[in-house]
Amino acid sequence: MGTEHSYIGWFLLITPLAASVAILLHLYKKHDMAIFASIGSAVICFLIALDVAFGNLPAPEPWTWISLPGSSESPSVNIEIGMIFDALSKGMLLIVTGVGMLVHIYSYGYMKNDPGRGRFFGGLSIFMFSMTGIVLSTNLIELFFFWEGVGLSSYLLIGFWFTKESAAAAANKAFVCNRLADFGFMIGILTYWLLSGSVSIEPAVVANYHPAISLAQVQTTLTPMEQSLHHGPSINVRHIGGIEATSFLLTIMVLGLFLGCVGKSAMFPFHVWLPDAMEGPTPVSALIHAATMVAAGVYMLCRVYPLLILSSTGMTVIASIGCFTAIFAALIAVQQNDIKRILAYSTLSQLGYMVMAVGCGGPDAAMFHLSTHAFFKALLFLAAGSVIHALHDEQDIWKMGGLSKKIPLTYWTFLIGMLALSGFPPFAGFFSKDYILSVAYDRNPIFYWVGVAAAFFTAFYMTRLVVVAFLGPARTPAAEHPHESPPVMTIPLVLLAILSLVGGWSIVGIKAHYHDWFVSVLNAVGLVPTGVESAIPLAESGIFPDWLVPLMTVSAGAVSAFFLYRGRDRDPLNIKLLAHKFYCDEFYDRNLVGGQQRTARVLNWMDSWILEGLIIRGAAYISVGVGEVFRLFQTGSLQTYAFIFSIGGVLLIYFTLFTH
Amino acid sequence: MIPNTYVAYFAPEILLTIWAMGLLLAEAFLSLSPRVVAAWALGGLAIAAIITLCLDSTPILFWGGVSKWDGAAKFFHLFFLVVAALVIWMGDEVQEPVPHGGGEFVVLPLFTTAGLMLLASANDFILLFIALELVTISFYILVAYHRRSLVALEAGVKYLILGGLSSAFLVMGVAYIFGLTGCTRFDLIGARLHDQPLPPGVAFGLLLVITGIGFKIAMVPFQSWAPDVYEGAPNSITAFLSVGSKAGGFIILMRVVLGLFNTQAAAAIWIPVLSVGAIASLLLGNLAAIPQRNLKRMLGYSSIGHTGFILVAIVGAATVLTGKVLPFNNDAQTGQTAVMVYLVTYLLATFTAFIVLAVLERRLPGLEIHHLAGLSQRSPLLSAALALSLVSMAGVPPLSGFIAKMMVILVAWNRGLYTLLGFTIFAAVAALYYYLGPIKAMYWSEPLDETPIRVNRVTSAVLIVLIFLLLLTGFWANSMAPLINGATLAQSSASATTTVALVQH
Repeated sequence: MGTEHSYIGWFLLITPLAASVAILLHLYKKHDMAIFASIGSAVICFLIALDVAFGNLPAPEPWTWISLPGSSESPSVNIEIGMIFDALSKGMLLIVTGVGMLVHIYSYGYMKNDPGRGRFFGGLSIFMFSMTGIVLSTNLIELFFFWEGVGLSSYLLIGFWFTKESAAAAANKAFVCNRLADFGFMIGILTYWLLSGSVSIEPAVVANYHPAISLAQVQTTLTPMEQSLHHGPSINVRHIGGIEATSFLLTIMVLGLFLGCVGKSAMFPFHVWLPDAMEGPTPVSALIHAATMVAAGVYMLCRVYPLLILSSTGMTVIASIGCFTAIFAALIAVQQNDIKRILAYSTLSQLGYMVMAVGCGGPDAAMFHLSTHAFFKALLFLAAGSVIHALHDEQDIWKMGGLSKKIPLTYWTFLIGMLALSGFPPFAGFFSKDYILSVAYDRNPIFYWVGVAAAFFTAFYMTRLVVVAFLGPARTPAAEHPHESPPVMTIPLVLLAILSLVGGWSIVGIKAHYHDWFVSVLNAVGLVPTGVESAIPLAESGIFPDWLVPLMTVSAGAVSAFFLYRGRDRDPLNIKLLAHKFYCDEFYDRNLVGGQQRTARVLNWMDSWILEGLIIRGAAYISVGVGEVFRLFQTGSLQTYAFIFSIGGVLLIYFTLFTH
Repeated sequence: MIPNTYVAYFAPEILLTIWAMGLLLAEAFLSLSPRVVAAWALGGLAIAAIITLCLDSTPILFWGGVSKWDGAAKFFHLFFLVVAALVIWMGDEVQEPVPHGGGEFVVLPLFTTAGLMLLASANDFILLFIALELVTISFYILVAYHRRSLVALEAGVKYLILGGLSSAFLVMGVAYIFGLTGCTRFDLIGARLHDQPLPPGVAFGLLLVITGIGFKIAMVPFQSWAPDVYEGAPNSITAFLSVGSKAGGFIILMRVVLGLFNTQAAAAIWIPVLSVGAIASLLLGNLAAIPQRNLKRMLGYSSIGHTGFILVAIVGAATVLTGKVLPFNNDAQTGQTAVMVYLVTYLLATFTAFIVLAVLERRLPGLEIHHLAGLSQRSPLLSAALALSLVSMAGVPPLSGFIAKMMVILVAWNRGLYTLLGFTIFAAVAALYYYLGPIKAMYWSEPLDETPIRVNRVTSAVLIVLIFLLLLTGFWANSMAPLINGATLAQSSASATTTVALVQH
């Protein structure tokens, strides 16, 4: 890195921010200019991101936001707004800006006739601003700031059609779920601050922090691969801020940070908001709920990975929750009928894989899968949007059918996305999912087998979707005369389809890229002695010798679904438990929301009677009363004023000098 | 610090005075339009500002020791120049032109500013008094400038009489101090009083001086003029009074209590007095503002409340106070910094509010709160500017008023002034109540009149800059650092003895 700085990096944030401010303040009714500003800012961001990733553009000089010089009792606190350009953020930045740009362009076609499209693009720009900020943050406070920005923009975009009640409700649900989880995230951040006196997440700083706390349990959390490389513990326990960094606090920290990810990446049990969020316009679903926003949680976990390994309990919880979500969401997806909901549950399931990978000690695998998933999930959503567009807002797959011949481009690109998601070679998803499964096997075979089972269902429901929606005869009049979408929508599809095909190939190098990053992180925290990087086998595709197992499972899933659903008009399976998503929403409504309502009523009573009635109203009445009394002195008469003035002076002197 | 005969540090004052006299003459003989005079006046201020910026802030006593240049003097010079520029611009561009008025309305503030700048560097009671009178007399004229309006005349008379009364107190106090110490220069008085118990006569004099200054800063119980005068004066002059004149009062208060009477014995007198004044101002200012319906009166009361906040910071700046050391910056200087920060944020918010009021005065039937109904639909810029300035004065983050209030509260906390802290917090909360009233009217009431209010380009630009600064200084408090850093009073107790020795020889 050195001391070289370039201010160009700031434009990654300034451009979309300026676009969103201009749009929301001024241009929201001038649609063409708004769209131009928003798409223009996305393109500029992508170009800068290319320069960052391939042109080695140095990071801008960090800007000190809040600076409190320390004293003997408390260390100094510097909260910076900076940018971190390392392998991890460069890769993520390319995805965010690249996919973001394609979605912007696609939205131009998709939202062409919407009366509020100016506002829509304003929301997209806030989203780009916040998301880029998350990726580039150098510390958790900065990250949290942008994290909330993403929460805000997703609220605005999910509830974009706010006159529709379900959309408004979905936006609220997403916001509330995220807020709840962010509370845990904040606890995690504060615990980290408490333990280390720092909020930085730059690897070098975190590495300094590492020896400061007990690493005794690190050994138990590492994968066998890492343990073999561990250079022996050079560990000392130190008192930080008068509090011994116990493993308990470390676990709180890790779980708190993870809770942030649970909300943003919609892990069980906070998953309920994501499928509902499909109420937003489809490009939003593609951008937020597939490619980037939900990935922010996984990205954040990878960013703080050196901290996560400090708690073995935490790592186990992360892996278990991820693993459970993977299979849980895949099962639900089997019985959904709304094309966007199926994709939403598949997103949950894939995010589960990624989180499981992090918990199993393979953040590089998680990031690899995150990248390929961004390609094919954005592709699937945009293709689904194209289908919906073609059928005039029909989303039920049982009312489609026979689309393969009428909208062939959409069909073929969707098929590529489906193959990639299911994990067929040589599509991108195969390589990344396989890598995750191999990492999981190293950690604990249970995770592996559950992952394989989830892969079976993934192939099953995706094949079901394709067979029902695209093959066979048209089931409704609308499905008989669809129209292919305009080029502005199909070109992004083709580009994403190409990426979904080649994204996993070793020649593209995504996997090696993240692997190098992972090795460097381990190096930085002293887990791998310098110079033995090659000790981690830089495996080619199929590191796990039995990669045939997942492949066979996936094929079995696809084939069974194909024969089960071919030529059907209704679903031959009817599993109520799955169709009702394991009754999660009902459970929450009945137990949590009910209880919450009761608590809310009690609090409301306290608020309106004790707080507002007694304290606020009371204080207000007293204030007003005293104010009226004071006003009596304000007679307007000059003589009174002069009298008060003089008496005041005399009393002042009397009480000060003559009463002692 | 050995006094010398330099006048370079007086250059801004001299320049402004000559400039103002020249403009008055030119206006009389060349029949210049007020606009041209205003432009020239702004030019004079700009030159004075450049000169001030060129002077470095190394402490020095000059002109035979009656004046003192230090970081605080430089800060306040710049502060007053900015205030004066805004006042002159408002007087010319924003508000209703004065009937039969000439250029004096924009020239007189130059004299006031010269007086305020003299105050900022005063090191002698005689200079202090003359400077104060220069300020006050020009204000008498400015306040009553609408001489055909009864309200304005009433305000002018009230300000004149009560101002005269306060000057009398001040002069009497100065006389006592002079009578007992035999000198009027702060450093010499300090040296005489050094290591001695405070003579009762000097304490008496100090209290009388505080009474006189209490009038300028509208400290309770010397505040009674403020609401009436604020209401009656032209908007630009009200803003000038509430920011410029008040800041002038605070700098001399700081020079007197933190500079001159900075001893254990004297502090035992003035700390309780200012604490009581602070508490009374906090309570009266913020509570009596609640029932007000007229915006200018409301801001008059709120300015009394702001006096209370600043007084808390001044008490916190007393070096003789025993208390915890501040976590940042060293001890008492933070108290002084809090005063400066508060004044900067107060300047931004007050001028934003008064510029809006000046524009509205020409377009609305009155400045009662209900006249603002639905303003957001008639002019989004004006309502946003007024709302943000009020919210900033209320001390809501992330606006700059929050930083100022937070600093005051931190100073009180760190120096162990828990009673003051309690009242400060109570007042900050109570203040929310009345600041939000106008905002509610602007945003949640139906407009009486739908016609949009147009704002000209320069006014919009100034308002946008002020809004930007309100947000910038709030979101990133460090942006004020170049202005605030080093802007503290130079302590000269040690070298004062040397001076005495020199004088006596």
